Amino acid sequence: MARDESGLRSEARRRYERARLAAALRASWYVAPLAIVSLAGCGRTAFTLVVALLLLALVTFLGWRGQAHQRAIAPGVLGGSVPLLLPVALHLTGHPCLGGSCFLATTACLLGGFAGALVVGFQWSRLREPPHFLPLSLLVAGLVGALGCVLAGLTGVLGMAAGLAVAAGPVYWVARRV
Amino acid sequence: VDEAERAELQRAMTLLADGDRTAFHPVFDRLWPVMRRFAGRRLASPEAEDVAQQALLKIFERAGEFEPALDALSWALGVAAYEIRTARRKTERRREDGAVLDHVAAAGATPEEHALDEDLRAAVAELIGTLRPADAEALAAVASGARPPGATFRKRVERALARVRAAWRTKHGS
Repeated sequence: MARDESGLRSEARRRYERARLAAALRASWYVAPLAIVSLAGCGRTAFTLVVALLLLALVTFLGWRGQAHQRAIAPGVLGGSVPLLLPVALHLTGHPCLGGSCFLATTACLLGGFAGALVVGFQWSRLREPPHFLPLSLLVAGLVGALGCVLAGLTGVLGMAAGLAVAAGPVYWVARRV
Repeated sequence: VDEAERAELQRAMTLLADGDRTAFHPVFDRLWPVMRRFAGRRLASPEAEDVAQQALLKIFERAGEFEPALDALSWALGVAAYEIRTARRKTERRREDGAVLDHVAAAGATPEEHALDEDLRAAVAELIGTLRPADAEALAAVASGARPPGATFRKRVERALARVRAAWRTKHGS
């Protein structure tokens, strides 16, 4: 099996990348329970599956890439769980979203998105990560949040995204000064 | 490995574990000669090179699991030591297999015949273990050639063999 040094170097690099990818994929297991919560609470199968696959691809990529990319995942999931759980909790406690009466759920998504961005911003400032950490973490939070806000339809998802975007600006500004 | 090199390896390994690809070549350049020396002191020449390469590949495969609290050099040598142990075990097994084949070849039997013979011996030994002690003693005496004269012993042997045949039929059907 003996290789020359350059062959050995290439093989070592291949094994390193492959092992990182496998580890990142294994570490993304939590996407499954998030998708199950979304399916159980919202019942929009196609949307949930597409978003869950996008989320799986994103967190696997970030985990494989490592460094700040990898560290952006946990705050993103934490921040995104606010807009994920708020509308689902509302729905389960007797505020069904029927026809056009989704105002409460949409408001919950907007506020959830806002709160999620604050969580991400706080973590960004606390961990003293580079600037690219913030958009990556917000992207993860957005996809996680979309799994819950789909309950209120496209309006809910857009509301959540607006909440995230509105809070992200001040969060960035404040965190840079802390 | 001096202290400065050790500290540099620790720093590079920590970065690589975090996913910093710029640390790949520094880790490789520091560990490869160490692995070669380490394996070279413990194994014979052609095998040592193979094992050193195998150990180095394992280290890069597991680089993501490296904890910065650990000492990078000790961790790497631990992986290499495991590879060396595995290689030694494989060599020993090959040597043992070779010895068995030599023995079979010397006895003039094919490996299949040897395996069948071994199976048969094991089945007979198992069967004898199920006999009463007196029957087993009688058969052991016949097998060792220490056969006492007289009709009583002959009858004991006949009875023991009848029980062996019955037990064989029950267990193996023929």
